[in-house]
Amino acid sequence: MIDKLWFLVPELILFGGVVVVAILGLVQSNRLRGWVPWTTALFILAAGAASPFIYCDEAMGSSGLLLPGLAGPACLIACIVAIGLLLLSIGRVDRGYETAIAQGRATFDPIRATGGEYHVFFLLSLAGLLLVSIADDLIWLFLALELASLPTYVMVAMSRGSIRAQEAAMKYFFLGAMSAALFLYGFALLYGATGTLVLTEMQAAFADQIARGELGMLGIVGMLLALLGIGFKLAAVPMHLYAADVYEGAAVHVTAFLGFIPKAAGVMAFMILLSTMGWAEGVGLPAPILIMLWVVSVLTMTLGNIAALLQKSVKRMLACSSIAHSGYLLIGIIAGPGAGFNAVMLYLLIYGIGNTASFAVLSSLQRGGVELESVEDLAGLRHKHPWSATAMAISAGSLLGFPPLLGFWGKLALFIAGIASGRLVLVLVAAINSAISAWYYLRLVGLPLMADRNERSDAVERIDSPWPRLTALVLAAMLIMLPIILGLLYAVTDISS
Amino acid sequence: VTAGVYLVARMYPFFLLAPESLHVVAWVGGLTALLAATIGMAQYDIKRIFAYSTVSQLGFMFLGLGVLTTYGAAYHVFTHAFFKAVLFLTCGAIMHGFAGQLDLRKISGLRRMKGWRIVSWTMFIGCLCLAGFPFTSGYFSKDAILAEAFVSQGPGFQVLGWMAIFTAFLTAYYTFRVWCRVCAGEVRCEPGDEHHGDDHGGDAHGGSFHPHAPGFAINIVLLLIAAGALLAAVPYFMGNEAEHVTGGWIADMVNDSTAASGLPGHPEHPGSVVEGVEAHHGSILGMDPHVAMYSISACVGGLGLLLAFWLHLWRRQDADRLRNWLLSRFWTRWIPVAMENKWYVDEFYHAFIRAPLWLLGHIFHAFDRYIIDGLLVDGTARVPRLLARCFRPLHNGMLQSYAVTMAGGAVLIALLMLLMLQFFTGGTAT
Amino acid sequence: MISWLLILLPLLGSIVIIVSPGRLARQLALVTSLVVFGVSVAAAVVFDGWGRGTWDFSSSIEWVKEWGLVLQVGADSVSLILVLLTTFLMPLAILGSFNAIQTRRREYYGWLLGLQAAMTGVFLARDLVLFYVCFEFTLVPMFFIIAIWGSKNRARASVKFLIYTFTGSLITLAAFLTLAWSHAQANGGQWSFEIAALSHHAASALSLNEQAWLLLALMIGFGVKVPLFPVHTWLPLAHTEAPTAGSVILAGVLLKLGTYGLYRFVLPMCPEAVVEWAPFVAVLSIIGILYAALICWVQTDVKKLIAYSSVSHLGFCVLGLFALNPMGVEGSILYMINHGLSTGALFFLIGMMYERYHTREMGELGGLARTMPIWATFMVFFVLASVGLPGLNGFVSEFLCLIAAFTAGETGAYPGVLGPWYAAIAALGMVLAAMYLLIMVGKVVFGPTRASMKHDEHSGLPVDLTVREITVLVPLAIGCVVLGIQPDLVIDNTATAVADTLAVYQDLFEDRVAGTAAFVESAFQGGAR
Repeated sequence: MIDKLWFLVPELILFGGVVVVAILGLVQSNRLRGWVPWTTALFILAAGAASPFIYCDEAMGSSGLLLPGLAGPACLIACIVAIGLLLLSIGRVDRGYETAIAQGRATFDPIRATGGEYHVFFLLSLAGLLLVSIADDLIWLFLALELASLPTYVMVAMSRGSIRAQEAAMKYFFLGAMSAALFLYGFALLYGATGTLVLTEMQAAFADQIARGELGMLGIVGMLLALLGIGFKLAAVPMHLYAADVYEGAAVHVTAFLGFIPKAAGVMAFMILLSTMGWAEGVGLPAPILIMLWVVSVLTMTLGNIAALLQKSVKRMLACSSIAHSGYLLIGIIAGPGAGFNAVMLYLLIYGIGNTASFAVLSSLQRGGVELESVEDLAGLRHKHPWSATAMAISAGSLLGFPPLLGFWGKLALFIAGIASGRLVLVLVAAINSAISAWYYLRLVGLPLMADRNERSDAVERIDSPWPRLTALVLAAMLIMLPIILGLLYAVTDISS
Repeated sequence: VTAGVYLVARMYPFFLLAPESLHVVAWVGGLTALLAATIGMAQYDIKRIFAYSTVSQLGFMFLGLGVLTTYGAAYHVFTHAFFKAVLFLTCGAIMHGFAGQLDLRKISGLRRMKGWRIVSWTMFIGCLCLAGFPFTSGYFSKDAILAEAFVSQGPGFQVLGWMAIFTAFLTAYYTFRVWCRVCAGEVRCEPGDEHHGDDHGGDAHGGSFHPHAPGFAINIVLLLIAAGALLAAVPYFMGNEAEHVTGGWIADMVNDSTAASGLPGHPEHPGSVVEGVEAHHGSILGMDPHVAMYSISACVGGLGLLLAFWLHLWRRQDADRLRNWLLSRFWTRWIPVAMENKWYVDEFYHAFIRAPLWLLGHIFHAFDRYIIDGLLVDGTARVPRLLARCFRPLHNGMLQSYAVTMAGGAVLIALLMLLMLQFFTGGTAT
Repeated sequence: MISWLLILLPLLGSIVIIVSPGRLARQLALVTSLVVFGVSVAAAVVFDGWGRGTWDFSSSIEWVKEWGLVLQVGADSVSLILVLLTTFLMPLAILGSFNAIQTRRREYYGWLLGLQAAMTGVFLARDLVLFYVCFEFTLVPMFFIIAIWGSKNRARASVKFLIYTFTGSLITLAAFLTLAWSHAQANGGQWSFEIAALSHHAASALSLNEQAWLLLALMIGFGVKVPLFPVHTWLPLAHTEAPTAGSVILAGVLLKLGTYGLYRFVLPMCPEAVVEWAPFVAVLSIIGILYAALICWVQTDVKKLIAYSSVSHLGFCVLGLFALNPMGVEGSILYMINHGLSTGALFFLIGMMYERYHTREMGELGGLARTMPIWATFMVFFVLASVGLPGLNGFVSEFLCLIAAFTAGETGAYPGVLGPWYAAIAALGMVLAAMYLLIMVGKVVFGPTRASMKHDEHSGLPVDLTVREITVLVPLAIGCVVLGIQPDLVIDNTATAVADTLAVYQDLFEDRVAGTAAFVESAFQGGAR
């Protein structure tokens, strides 16, 4: 029990942060309230800093986890990206209200303020993600997944005053509940098939069944439902439909959050669940599951990319692109432990940085006090905001996977893993999809850097807070510079130890 | 101009790999020579006559290459360069002096005009060489080719040989037609319509036109080159080693030729010999076997020369009479007409090569633009977008619709999974 | 070390230019490119691989051990010659842009130098991943150069250029990775991307069928770049819309990345498949030669004409490569250089004319020999070089390619799988080239002066060429003459490297050819000395 608690130290740090931030967010003093994001950042940093010591190899060796190497890299990646996500939201949360208070036009009313709550949910969701990575039975996994998701429903709803945010939250919540029901039912079937909830025992049971050649329909269907349900977190086909609407409805800093945290949780849950059934003693996945993943992967990247082609709203476009990225991630998952899972983790980090960078640019800009909507708003951005325009172009190039930007190396890792597991066709489909994605990513490169200004984009200006801007720049610089230390990144995200 | 021959000669080993192509080269050369010669016979523009004679001589060179005498061809290139330079220079001098007048019917008796003596006599030398008059340079080089045409074996090379001899006869005729018309005969001239800056306009029109003779420098150059044209015969009398002295490139050619003689297709014992044209192939090229050809070609050359003198110097009216006689008869009328119109080569070229290619260019351009680029490339590029439009109705923003689609999608994927499983494993793995 | 210098110096220059004030951009760029040229010349002087097949200036940096990623650079004679071409053209391209580029100079020259770094990287890479990264990165600067400083239709042209070539090379990447995987399997799971090792593995361990697929995938990537018929349609558009220097670099170097890829990867990696499919590729290139030549004939836009002529000319280059004999490959390498010089110069000339008259329509131009005699002289000179006038550079290479295809029959001194017919039909392309180029010269340089032609007073340029413009053209002209008279500078120096590359084919053909007649050997040596 004690060593189980030991593994929970980073999560406990985050929970501690939740308490502190929740209180801090209700303080009357403007100055102290201003400390909320920084306090949050402090706790995230603390959790991240603790992870190498907590999840060291000796400790993990005896942890009894299915994927003992997952926790450390997962924690690091989540914390690194979370810092970015946090920074880009500074000055965004409660913007109008806080400004009014600062100017003396309003007085602080704890009921109306959401700053503290936002950060509380932020930390809770992040903690859910970390919990997924050290899940050792199905109940834990379910709870962790829901802990990662539930706060995001609220975050969407309260992210901005607009009715569209409410609508998005409703959709998100109902569909999320449906998917949760789906994968919970799948979990039940898995339990029925193996008679255990503990993942390692389940793995042994399935290995035994496979060895005897009698892997039952119950287990397969259970796995199928579980994967489809969790696919909602990844926005994988067919559970992807909510993504565009929800991403568009939420405020930009929440959209950025949605683009990474639930997705990472889903991906890790995929890896853990699939490890129970496949790859034992070098067999690979059972054929039905493999086929299903293959189909889902192809459909996800293709539908995501082609849907993005038609989008006029920049957030919808990025939403669709994030669907496509889930498809790419599935290549690594199909490729399996070792190179495949390592590539998935590396890609998560790289995608997280690229995605956060692009949303950070959007977060740093406004037009008439509201967020940018149309892609056309970015036209000619370089005239007034050259650095933001450059950062946008770089992050789009990285998401596209253009060498030598960081995104390319992530894709390269996935492709290598895919090919090494004999999935050449899948890699070719991904390659063609990358080419398709070039169309809309090039718009994000071309409009800010090359297009002439129009009436809409003339009105685009920066928001007061410098932090989103700085985040965008730093992340963009990372996209350029990090390939130099690619070996280090690879070592950090290596979960096979 | 002769670069083409040089190229073919350089590429010789490669042509040797495909003897058929050499036959083609020979026939193309022979026919070109004949055709160009007949065209040259019927033109009135001096410069154009010499141009066609160049084409004709090129034909000879290709013929030489085709019948495996690179030596002959290269030697002919060498000699031809000299005497054709002389001819074109004189031609230029006349053109300059007579204000662009080049019609051989309008100028006559040049050699009796003051200051034109050198021009007319160097032209005479050039003509002699071109006609292949005995012991001029052109004589030897042309003989080398003609004789070899009989020596080599190939489809219809005998016919080709006689055709070449006939062409040589025509060559002699049309070259001296020019000389006789322009340089000999009564003194007469009509200036052209090009006025030079130093001409007085009134003079040109008033009939008191004074052709200005070429200057000293041009005369010197003419003399030098003419001498060169005559001396170009010298290498012919040198031995094999001596030929190496005349320049690396001829030596190369000879080496090629030596190599060529070892070719399987080449006659080691040339069998068929027509009219005593002796054809044993000596170790040193181009010396002995051409004895018979000396006389034959000297004869035809002389004949052509005489004909030219007869028709264009002594009895000029006979030439016109001959032309009219030919024109008046239905069966022969095409000969002068076709010859004067250059056998309609230009028209043929335009109608059958240039226009179709031009049309083809337009078709290809349209094809490139609309089919390859428009349909294939842009069409492919449009596919994702079209697909996206198909899937667009799914993103309708309705919660219920989303839920149904997700559930339906899950079922579809499950079905698809079962279907593919059936397909891949025959349904065994359950 | 010197390899890294050649790659990183332009990159450094690019960064310096981006952060420096805009008015210094031109000078800084010129100085940087000249320094790089100096370095490359110095490298050529101390290079010990001339006439030998060895690599020099090699250096490697361990990067990601798990994937076997080692950044490996080095130069053999072929690479170094192409690097020299790049470093030679770049200062000229920069000098040629002084007047044409008036907006966003910092970015422009920054991108140009970045492009140079990438191109040099392609030629110097000995590691597949480094090669691919540089190969792909060349697209980015060119994309921006076309999209920002191009003419009217630039947006479409740049996007098409990027997506077309990007798609092609992604397929190639998949093939490379598959090959590397196969190599890793054979080597006990140790990944490596070293080109030499992979080439050796591909040539020796893959079956004919696997090689054929590899060939197909590589041809898709490099064929688009070359560009080979029928995947050439991005080129006329990109060439026409790009600014002058962009066209020059595009034609001069970027297209050569494709042929270099064919030489460096296709030939050594899948020999058996190449022997099997060379006739097919040759037919494609011959179709390209004639097809593009005929299209050139009916072009009215001078720049588009030259662009299509590139398609035609590069067809010879590919034909020479797939003749699979030393003569053809050497001719092809020479052709890469020559085409870079003469077509680059033609693009410069058209750009200079365009800056003055703002039109490229043949119908609106004429009689430039009278108004711009210096320009006209250069124009005629480079057209003749491009047509293949003996004595100028185009002739030798074109002819070597043709002869090589001609002799590459089943038998002969240098066997291959092509034959006389291939050469004979391709040779028609030479005739057509002479026709369309000379017709163009006839209309534009000679011909009557058009009333519609107006010299733009505001362009700040005199009627005829300025000293700066002449300075741009003269080195190219010198290059044309030198390589026309002394093609051995390229051929002799690369002969051994080429022979090494082709060694595997000699072995393959030994089975095919019963015996080589000695007299043909001697005849060849006598003729081509």
